[in-house]
Amino acid sequence: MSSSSPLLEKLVSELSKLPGIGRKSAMRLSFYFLKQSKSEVEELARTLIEVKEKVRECEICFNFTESSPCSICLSKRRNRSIICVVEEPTDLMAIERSGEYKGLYHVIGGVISPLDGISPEDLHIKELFERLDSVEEVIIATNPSIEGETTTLYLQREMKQRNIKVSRIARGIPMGSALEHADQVTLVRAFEGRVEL
Amino acid sequence: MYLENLRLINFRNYEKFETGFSDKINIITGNNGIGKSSVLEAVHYLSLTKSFRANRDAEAIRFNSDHFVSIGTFVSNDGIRENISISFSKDTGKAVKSHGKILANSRDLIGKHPVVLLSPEDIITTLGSPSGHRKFMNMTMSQVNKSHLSRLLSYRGVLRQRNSAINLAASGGKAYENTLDALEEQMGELCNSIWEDRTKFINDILPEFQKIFSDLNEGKKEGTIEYRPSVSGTKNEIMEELKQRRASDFNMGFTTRGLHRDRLVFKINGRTLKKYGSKGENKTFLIALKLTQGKFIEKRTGIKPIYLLDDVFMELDRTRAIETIKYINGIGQVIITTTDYEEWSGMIDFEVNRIGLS
Ligand SMILES: Nc1ncnc2c1ncn2[C@@H]1O[C@H](COP(=O)(O)OP(=O)(O)O)[C@@H](O)[C@H]1O
Ligand SMILES: [Mg+2]
Ligand SMILES: [Zn+2]
Repeated sequence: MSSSSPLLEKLVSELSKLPGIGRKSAMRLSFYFLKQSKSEVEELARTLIEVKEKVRECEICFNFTESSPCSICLSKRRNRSIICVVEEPTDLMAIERSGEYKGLYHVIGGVISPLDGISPEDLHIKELFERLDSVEEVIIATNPSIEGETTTLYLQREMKQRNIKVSRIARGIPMGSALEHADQVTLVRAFEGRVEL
Repeated sequence: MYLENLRLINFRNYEKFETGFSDKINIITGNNGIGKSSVLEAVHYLSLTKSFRANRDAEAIRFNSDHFVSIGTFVSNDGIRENISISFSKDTGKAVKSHGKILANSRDLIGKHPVVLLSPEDIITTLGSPSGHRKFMNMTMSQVNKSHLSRLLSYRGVLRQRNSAINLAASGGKAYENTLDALEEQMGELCNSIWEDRTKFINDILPEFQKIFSDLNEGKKEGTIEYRPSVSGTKNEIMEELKQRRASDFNMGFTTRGLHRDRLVFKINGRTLKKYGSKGENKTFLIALKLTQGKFIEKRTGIKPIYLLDDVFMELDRTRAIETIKYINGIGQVIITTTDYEEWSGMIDFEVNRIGLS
């Protein structure tokens, strides 16, 4: 389709840069915005800018937060002797939704993948090691992929050298599927069935 | 299990094509270039969701078209029919359907309707190179064991990561030593289990192979297969070996040991086929190997595979052709192609379904 509005064309091309959005979906979204009221669109635009201005990484766990340290890191009700290591904030959110886990988190921001030029130094792993003083157990909850596995095995070795008890969530999660898409029952079971490494 | 019918749209030289098959011997006849191998290729697609001769699916799309469809009905041992369709479009890629419903994971189809393929290229691709040897083992074992295929795919992923890591490490990049430890731990586990699988596989098929090979040669020759693994032993032993090789791998720029370097050695009367085998001996060896493959699949799954024999009688003398025909009568559904029906139809004393192309 070539539209008669260059502006609309620009919106479609911006939207289709988003992950998971192809040109067709981008067009559908654009038409949807056109049909919305002006105030609804303004609300969305304002929220986008506000999020960009106010949401940043927690200086301790690297979760997204509006004030750093984040509420989880500051919470007195959580078990401060356990840290759960996840790849991305979306994984943290999925685990929080399950309500099963009451310890702290550490978001390393990806996985070790030499193919993509990502080494342990490119992740927030050094910062994890710096948090270990008052920690008794580290639970690793990477996604079931080759890179997730590599990262888990890497962390396992490092934790053993530091004499920290280390476990991983059980592999109730099928290889190749993402943590954030796992249903809550699966996640709860995965936490209960975590195995010491 | 057998394939009852096949329908093609824009597949290779066929705009539209339709044929039925008997559950026993089918012979596709016609001149060179008429489209015999293409029919086998389409059946191969229905079984394994891919071609045996094209590197890219797009090659099988009829010139000047933008998609192909191959549809067939399989009939199971219990008489249950399953309609499978594989389509490939230049725009939207491949779609695998069962009863018109898209399968989310096309891997689920593998092993359901197993095939054994024998094509003229096999002399070079299967017998002639270590990658062909591994492909033979992979294809056979994946059709009888789902976990085998997923372990092979995992290994491929880990191997790519290790190759990348050693190149980065060799070019003096970041410290990848500990990452290599983590990768080699995964490789150790996978190499150990696949080495065990392959060892067992070759041991399992050897007696059957030796019998078939001997039969095809009227008991005058003896054939053997030896497995030469690149690494073997426990997970830890293999990990240690991979670690030992790092320095030389840095120099070579790739992973020089692992199950991706396994090979087979084929011998006739104690002499290696590769060095001393004649064309005819290669062909006979290949036929015995593929017939053995089929028997193995049948024993493991209880499903008789479909035998796709492309130009099988080319380069075969009359005696061996007769022995082969004797053998294939009764092994299940067979689809053979030949340019020269008259030449050997006289040797057949059972009923066949002839599909003449022109
Ligand atoms: N993508 C394609 N589109 C149209 N024709 C093709 C395509 N690929 C191959 N062909 C032609 O199809 C014909 C049939 O090939 P093939 O099945 O190998 O014949 P046969 O096995 O009977 O000798 C050949 O003439 C070949 O040139
Ligand atoms: Mg041919
Ligand atoms: Zn935090």
